[in-house]
Amino acid sequence: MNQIKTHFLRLFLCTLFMSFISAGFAQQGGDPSGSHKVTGTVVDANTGETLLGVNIVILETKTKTGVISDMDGRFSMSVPANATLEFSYVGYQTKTIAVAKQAVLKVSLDPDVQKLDEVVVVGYGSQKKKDLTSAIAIVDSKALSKTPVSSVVNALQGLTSGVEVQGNQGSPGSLATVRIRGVSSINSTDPLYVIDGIPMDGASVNAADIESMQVLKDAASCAIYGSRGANGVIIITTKNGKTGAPKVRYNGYYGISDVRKKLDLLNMHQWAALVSETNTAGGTTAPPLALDIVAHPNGPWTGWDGTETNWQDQIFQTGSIMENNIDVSGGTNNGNYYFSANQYKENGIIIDTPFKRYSVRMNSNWQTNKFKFGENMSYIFTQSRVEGSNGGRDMLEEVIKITPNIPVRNPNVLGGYSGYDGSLVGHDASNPVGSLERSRNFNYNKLFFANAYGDYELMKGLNLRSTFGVTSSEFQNRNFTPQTDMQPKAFTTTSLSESAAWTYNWDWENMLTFHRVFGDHDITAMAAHTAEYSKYHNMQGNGITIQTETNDVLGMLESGYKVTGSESETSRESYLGRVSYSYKGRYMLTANFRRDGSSKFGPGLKWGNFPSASVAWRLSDEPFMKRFSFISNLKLRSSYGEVGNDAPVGSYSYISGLAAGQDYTFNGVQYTGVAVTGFNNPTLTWESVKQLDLGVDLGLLNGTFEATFDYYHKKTTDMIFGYPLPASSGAGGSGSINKNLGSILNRGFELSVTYRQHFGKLDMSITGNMSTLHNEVLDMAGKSITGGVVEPGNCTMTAVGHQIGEFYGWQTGGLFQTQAEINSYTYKDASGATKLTYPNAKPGDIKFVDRNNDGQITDADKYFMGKPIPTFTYGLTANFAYKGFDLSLFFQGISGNKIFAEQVCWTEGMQNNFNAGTATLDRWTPSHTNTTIPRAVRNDPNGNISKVSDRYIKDGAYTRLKNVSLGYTIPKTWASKLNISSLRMYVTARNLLTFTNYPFYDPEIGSSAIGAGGTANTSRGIDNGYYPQPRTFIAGIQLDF
Amino acid sequence: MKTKIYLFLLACFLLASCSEDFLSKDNDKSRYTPGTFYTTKAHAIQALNAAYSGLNAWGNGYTWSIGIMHHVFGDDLYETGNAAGFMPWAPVSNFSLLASQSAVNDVWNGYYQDILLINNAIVAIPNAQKVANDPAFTTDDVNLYLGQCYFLRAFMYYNIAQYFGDDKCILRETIPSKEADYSQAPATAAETFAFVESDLKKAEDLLKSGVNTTSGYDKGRVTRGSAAALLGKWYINHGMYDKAAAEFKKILPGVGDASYGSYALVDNYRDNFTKTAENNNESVFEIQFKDINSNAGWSNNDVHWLVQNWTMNNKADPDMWWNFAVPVFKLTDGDANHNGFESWTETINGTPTTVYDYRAYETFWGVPNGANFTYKEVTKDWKVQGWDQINIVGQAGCYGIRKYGYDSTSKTDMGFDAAWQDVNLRIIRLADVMLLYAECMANLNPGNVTATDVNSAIYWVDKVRDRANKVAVDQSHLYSTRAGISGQLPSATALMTSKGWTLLQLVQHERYVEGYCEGWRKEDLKRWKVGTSFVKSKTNWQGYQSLTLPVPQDEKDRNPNMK
Repeated sequence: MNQIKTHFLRLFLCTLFMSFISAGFAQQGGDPSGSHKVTGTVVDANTGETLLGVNIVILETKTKTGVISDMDGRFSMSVPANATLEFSYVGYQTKTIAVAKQAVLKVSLDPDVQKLDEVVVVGYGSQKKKDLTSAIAIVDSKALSKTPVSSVVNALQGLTSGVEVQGNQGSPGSLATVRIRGVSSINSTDPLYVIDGIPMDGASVNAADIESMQVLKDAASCAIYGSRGANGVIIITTKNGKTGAPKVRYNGYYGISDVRKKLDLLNMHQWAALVSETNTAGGTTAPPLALDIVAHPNGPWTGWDGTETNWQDQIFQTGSIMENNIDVSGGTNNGNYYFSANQYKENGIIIDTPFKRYSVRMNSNWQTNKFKFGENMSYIFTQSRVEGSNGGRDMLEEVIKITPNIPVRNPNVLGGYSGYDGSLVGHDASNPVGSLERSRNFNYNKLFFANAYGDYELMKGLNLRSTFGVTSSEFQNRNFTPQTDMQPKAFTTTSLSESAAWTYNWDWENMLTFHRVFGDHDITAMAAHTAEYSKYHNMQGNGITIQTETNDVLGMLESGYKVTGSESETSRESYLGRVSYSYKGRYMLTANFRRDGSSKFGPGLKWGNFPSASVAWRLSDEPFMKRFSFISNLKLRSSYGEVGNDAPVGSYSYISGLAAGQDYTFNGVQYTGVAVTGFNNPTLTWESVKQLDLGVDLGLLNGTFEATFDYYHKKTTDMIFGYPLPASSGAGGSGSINKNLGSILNRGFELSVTYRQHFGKLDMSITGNMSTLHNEVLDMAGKSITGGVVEPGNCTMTAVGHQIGEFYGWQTGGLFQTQAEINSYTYKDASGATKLTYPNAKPGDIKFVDRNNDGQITDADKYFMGKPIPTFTYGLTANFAYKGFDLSLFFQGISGNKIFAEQVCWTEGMQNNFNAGTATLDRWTPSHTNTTIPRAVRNDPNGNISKVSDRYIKDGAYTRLKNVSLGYTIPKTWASKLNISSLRMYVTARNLLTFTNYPFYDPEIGSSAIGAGGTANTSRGIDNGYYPQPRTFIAGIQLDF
Repeated sequence: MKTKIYLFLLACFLLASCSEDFLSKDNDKSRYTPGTFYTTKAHAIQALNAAYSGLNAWGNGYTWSIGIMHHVFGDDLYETGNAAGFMPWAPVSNFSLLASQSAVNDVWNGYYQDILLINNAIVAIPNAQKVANDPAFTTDDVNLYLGQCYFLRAFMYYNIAQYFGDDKCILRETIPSKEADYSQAPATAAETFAFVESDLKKAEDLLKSGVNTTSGYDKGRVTRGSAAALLGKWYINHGMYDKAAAEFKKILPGVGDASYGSYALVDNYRDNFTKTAENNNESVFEIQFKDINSNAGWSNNDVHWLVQNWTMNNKADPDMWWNFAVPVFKLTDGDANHNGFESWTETINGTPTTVYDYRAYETFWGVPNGANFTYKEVTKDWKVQGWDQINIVGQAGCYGIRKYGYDSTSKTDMGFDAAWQDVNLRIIRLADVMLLYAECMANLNPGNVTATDVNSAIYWVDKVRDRANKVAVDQSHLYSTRAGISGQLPSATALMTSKGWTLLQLVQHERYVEGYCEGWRKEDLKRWKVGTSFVKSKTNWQGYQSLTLPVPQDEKDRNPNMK
């Protein structure tokens, strides 16, 4: 907490400084000459609270020069006789009042719960919510600001329909995987992020700085992003200052976290009994320690020092999380500004996995009569320590496998950690504590982002806007391995590897926007040209032998130097346009067109066209609907369009390169050679997605009940995959060429429902959303793709008629109880001899199902065992406010998906001398036959565990109380006594409750399975030792000065 | 209003296109591309080197799969497949072949991969000369480089045709780039014949200064003589004895054409299989190896792993070499089918002892009184240890192959370290050419038995036998040295008379003993069209037709035009 104090002090000084600067911009409202003066107060119609910053204009004069209400909701202005005043305020219904002669007004504004006039940022422009013709989900920014989130993408989880967010590793700083409306390709399907108008590959923005987020889901809204819009677009707008004196706001919290669940593993006696049995069954000898324990249950045991280590307790810890955020904002009629600084620190629930992030942001907007300009700038620095892994095994695998007899530390060996002793236990799990503590592998990310815009009103309704953005990002890794002798990991020498990669990117966009209303006709047109350039460069150096651990820099390396580097460039140029037409606010039509040029594609193929159109009919505004007064909003929408996904196409991939290293020796002298060794496809182009969307927006009882329903049908064609080439081409036996051949279907329903009500002083709103997803491979040009490498082999198959990356393996059919039963399964081989179907089986082994009834267990018996993609995702948010208290509950869940749990191999494998889970206590023995767990046998002759089977498939459904938050805002009167504007204190728990049948650490499995091969989408849902999502308890304050 | 017009024009300007170059970012700095490489003489040479590199590429080259196939596909080695890495070759050497077997795939894939590298050079070299505009990069240089490429391309198709059939060759002269190229149909047998013939004639023509006697011409490169020898082999395998003879004759000592080089049998037969005597006068075409990664192997242009396959029996001593391929031959087999090494009795240390043609000692480990092996400075006595009696193929008394092997090693782990081998593989050597020429003569002049006539088969068989009669130079590895004794092998005429052989049978015998385990046999058996009784210990041998591999299933699946 001491750190918070110092940090707070520092930021407070900054705040003061900013206040002085901004004081210069502060201005009072105009005071036009008029016949009389009007004063008044503006309040919230429900709560009676005064409203600050309400915009008040005189309708008759048609000027925008009005006044705004002050801190206490008061205003004062001169008005002509019989004037009508318009009171408008974001989030409230606009009200007009004829002033006549009233000198003092008390104006109450109704909250606009439907927010139909809310301005929604769409690609290259904005529209009023009620005029939208496409499927755009608007993330409630209030939900974002109320409870702290660790990152932008994590904040999206469960909040909108059609957006599936799955946490990847729960390690600090790791980002979730976002899939919008299904998985449209085996290749990259990450959405495009557009931050303050600039397209970016990641959501590199501090969550506290976000003003609004929109998720563009259908083709009509995404097509304006052309060849990059196929996977949906997330538009993020950062905060701007609001007119008024400088406001200083501080948000800070501190929390602790722990692991939701630990696994039940064997103790030493149980382990000894298991491995004795395993080895006896396998005809081998158990490790001496195990035999000793079995023979002398009470000890003493040779070679054992008396400690029994609970490795899970050693590796898991109580984590901590802390964030401090301070921002200063304000503005005048001529401009506004927003400044923020943020510090975030997290210590994970696994030891030595800390993460920290610092960021600053500055946004401002200024305007003269016809000219507007402004900028957004931010700098983000993150540092994380990379969890060590051991040849594809991560720490959780080691934790499960390492035996309890090994002490954590041994001061007598280099590095100070115990290793396994092969002669005692006979296996090779490495000490996870030593691995974590000794590894010094750090990632550093630095991102600088700046853009500036100028906007000039050429004539009434016609604006020219030019935006120039620069992004500079730098990624660094430093990996120093000190000398450690920790069997089986023995680093006999120090080694150091450092790498740095930077990307420099500029983006220049020029846009003409025209908007006019002619009677009942409302026309908006936009035309733009954009150009974008990006350069990537990296260098890497490594070597071995540094004599002391403190001199861990490249300059101190003594041998084995190696330096590499690479560089690439890409550029894009686009022409785009949009016309929106609305008649009487009832009939709406929008047409988009984008022509995209990209350097990624070969000559003659660089350009592509992406059209889309959408229509909407607002029935509720039709005269014949007036009698259904309870229907406050009813709109039918439909859209269709084509969008591209160019992410799977790499730079220069249209050029066949030459391979170095094609060397030859002549009479003992080596000569270098360079040649073509494979083929690139010069005609490779983007994946294409055509999407139909049908939607209904409904509002009842002035927004008390709101619902949005969408059906989408999204078909990917030209999906890229490596099509095998005949070896006679010269490409070799595994040679392939990337072709646009596959086709994928995603379709589903999305429903979002909100109910709001006041019960006296109790304010309540409940929002639920749900999405269904049907994912199906329609065409793979006759091929199928395996993925998901796990210990027993490939576990997924992508094939026509199935989902992308479905689990694929053998079916289990119970256990054999007798040898006679085993002998009853036979087949005749080619020579007519009778052979056993299960030649290596013994009673207690698994009977794999001979699905094709040929008497043999072959690849042909494999089947599709389960789907990793959920068929149903849902979220539920409930908010309650009573006087100063607010309570929010947020549930999120998925169902219909399966997890391939590689942990089964480690906890129930029973084929070697590793430790195991307590499930093995239920293993089959001649005296315990009523069980599903097979016998223990070394080397697993029948393949009980070493065959990919449905034994690994676990139900991945869960419902999680993702967030529960209780806050209290002190009354205004107290606040003013404290000389502050407001103070809210809150406590939050994340992942407090999880309802699931999943038996291992955590069911929230993303798609970055370690070392699983394939793509993220073809190796999804494989739990091979994920860092579990922590359960976190947080207390924080939000303080406005 | 003016301002507005200006501003509108400004807007139009801002909206205007960048130059077309803006989207052309084809400078890939991280790799060489055809657009930026192959612009100098040095680059052209690198294209040429790469054309050779397929020969000893790791995996599919002579370093591994093709090399193993080259040795086990005849009837001289029996591949037991006793180790995981060698399992694919057990059915191959046993002629129980399936189109899906990796061994079959590897051979097909490997040769076609080489063809890509070679065609790359054939396209790149003349272009490089044009772009380079370098007086030091002459048309003669281009011709010399292209000549080597044409030989290499012919060599690859020669082998594809030999393994899979003349009508299975997909003939390519350029780098495939479009759909139709990838699924090109195989040529007819006649087209393939003409293609290989044409490439080799081009090679002979272009390699005027690429002769083994040209000073400065790297030893190990393809020579004009290599092209003549391979063309001769192409002809003789197609039954064209006269054309074949004309080609072979170009490089035969005494009767050859000096512009094709100068070749001679090396005095010591074993010099054809050692590191120290690589690229010698007898070598016509030799695949080059070098221990680049300190015995590690696993990379292009490095050591090969063939010898580990056939040297000694792993069951004898787990520390010893792996020996999964064993010779089918047994010394007691005698003369059936004109095979077998000649033997006679000598008195050694007072004991009458059966001794053999010296070549038996150079070819095998474990022949009684033959060569010994020194492991970690201890001589392993084959006979004393009884290794020659080990039963692998159902009969006691198998021997290891000594050709291409080292005679001693100080490696600690023989199972692995000694497995590497960096001795060049002599693919064509003069003795082979002499005996093929003799075969032509036996067919063209079956009645000519004049030992002094260069147009008689006898003359050339005698040349080869004369060398075999020379005392082995390296007797240190023999159980008992027999210095000074030579000339025990009878002349070809005497042998033929005593056995009652025809000239062709004489040649068949001599080719067997001279080229045992050098990969000659698979072509010989096919050319001689021998039937089911000719070979032994190969259970599925159906006659010479068994010497054709099926086209890999993968190729049929992926290439709709491949039948």
